[in-house]
Amino acid sequence: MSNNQDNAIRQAAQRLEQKPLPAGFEARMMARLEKQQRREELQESALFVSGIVATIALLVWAGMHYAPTLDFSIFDFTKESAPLNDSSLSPKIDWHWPKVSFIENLSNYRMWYIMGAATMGLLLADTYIRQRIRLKSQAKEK
Amino acid sequence: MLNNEKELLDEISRGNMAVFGTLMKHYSQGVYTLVVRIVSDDCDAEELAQDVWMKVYKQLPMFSGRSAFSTWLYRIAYNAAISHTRRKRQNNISLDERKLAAVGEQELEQMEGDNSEHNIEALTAAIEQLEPQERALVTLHYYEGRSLAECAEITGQSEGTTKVRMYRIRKKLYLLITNNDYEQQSR
Repeated sequence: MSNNQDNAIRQAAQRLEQKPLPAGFEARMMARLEKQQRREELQESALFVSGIVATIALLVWAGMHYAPTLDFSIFDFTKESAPLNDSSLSPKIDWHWPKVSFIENLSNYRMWYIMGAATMGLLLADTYIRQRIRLKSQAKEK
Repeated sequence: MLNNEKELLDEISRGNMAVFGTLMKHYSQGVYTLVVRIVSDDCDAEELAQDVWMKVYKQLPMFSGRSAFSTWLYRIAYNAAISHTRRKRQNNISLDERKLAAVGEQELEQMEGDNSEHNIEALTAAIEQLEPQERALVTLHYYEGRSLAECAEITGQSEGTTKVRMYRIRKKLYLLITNNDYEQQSR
């Protein structure tokens, strides 16, 4: 199909009614985009704040709930020094796979799951903050 | 294509709305023309064109730059408009396949070489009777002056398929302007 061969069809296509952009199309579009941008920023901020609040709440809750159940006597330096292999001085956590039901097991290890989740949350929040700071500084540089 | 398109795209990805406005000013008429020719309705076309630009703004960070920005933009516009016509189930003209097969290259060349007013007017009316996908291809190739490779990229088909479709469109136009015995069928 060379250009010459297409000539009549091309002329016909050019001749089809030309519809101009509706008046104010670009202004309406820009207003819609700005509104969308503001909404996204708001959502982002809300997500960020709720993430931080949830992470802190988890940490506080885990600390308040489980800290009293641990035996921290190992840090009691008022006691006489004991032999290094005295296992009774380590925190009372059963590291062996317990012969209990799944639910009980879940309950026993709940603190570690929560602490793990909280750590992951903090790591994510940290990455997010760093990324935001990096992008903002890049935009400023430009 | 804009000269400093790459820089403009980088600026937009950093949230510069004014630059997006510049880009939109450059391409909005072309996008609107393509959409309005596919959907054949001004109100629907404006809404669709707005949706296209919203989509472009959201997906811009994912634009890899493998194709030209305009090709990517027209592909979004094409897909949006074609999806719209599928939802609306427009009535299209269906031609007898045997009649299409009977049209030869010589007749097509004759039609395309005939620059008489009568022939061009008949072709203009015939283009309006084509199916939305076919009107889109005619607009992209003959009106926008895009190559068949670009048309293929925009419509998401292989270049071979696009060539075959264009050949079929030419035959259909020939039948529409000569026979006038098409059947109106709703799909």
